[in-house]
Amino acid sequence: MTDQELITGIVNHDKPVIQFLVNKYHKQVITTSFHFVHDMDDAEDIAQDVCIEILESIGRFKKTSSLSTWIYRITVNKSLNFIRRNKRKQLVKQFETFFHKSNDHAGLETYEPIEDDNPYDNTERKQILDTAINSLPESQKTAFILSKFEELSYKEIAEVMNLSLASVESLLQRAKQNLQKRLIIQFSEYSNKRV
Amino acid sequence: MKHCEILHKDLFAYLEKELPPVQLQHLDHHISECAECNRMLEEFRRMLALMEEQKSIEPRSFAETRIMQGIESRLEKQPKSASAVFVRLLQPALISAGVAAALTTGYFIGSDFADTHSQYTQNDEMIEAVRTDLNVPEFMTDDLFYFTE
Repeated sequence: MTDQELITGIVNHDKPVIQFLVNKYHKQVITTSFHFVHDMDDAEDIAQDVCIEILESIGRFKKTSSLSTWIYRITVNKSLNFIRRNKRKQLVKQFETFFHKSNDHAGLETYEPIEDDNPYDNTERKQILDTAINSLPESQKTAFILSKFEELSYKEIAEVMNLSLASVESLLQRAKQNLQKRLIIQFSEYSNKRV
Repeated sequence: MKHCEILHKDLFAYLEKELPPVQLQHLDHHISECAECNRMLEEFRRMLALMEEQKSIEPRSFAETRIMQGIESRLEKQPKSASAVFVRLLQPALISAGVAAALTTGYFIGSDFADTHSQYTQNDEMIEAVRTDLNVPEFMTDDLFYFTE
């Protein structure tokens, strides 16, 4: 089914076409939003919002980009809005996780010696990575996620974010620099805490 | 700038081999001698590997059904909301218009009836006057009442 056939079907609220749309794009939408929010339930909620937004605003799709790019744009906006709305909620959750983790570490440290060559397990490593990515400014985070996890080209990222190629290159450069700075700080702090 | 600082500044670029070959060689040499940089680099390698794993994340099996259910319930709500608008706005307006139309019709029918009634009364009075003047017996004017109706 071509993009045009898909668009016509969505405009007419044709159920088999909507089913086809969901089948074709749900993975893209869920994984992208998951990289922003790091929670599968939230990612699925966002995906539902994205699909409803597609149905309601397909008339505003200007066809200057592909349907997939337009869907990426909606997904990014919905995910960023979700993060903004839930910032307070997440802060409380992070505190809880932090205290929970601290208690876990206190328990583990008495039983497990620290291995110098592999100081973190993958859960801790993922938490460090997620925190570092979350702390990036919105535009850097978006460019980084679309590039590293969704493997979009600079041109595609430029279309999704409505930026020039040069701006995307610069954003990605700054995102990597900031990310490695934050990761180095977190590694150092964590190593100091555990040693 | 010390080699450690250079490496910390370009860790991603080093791992993704985006640095010029000469700089890569210098850093390779430094890493082979610096335990701290070696450890940091290893941690970053693991971090990149974790990012690779994250790429292959899959939605849960019921996700598509869940999304579709959400859409269907939204689509079902749309006509309902239209009927809600009808109930809230159009229905009272239609009822009011109906009542107004009934009252207007009643008024015109009523006024027409009043006109006819007063006309009948005038006819009756005229006949009665003529009958009295001419001293005509009442039974003879019954037909006149009949014809005026």
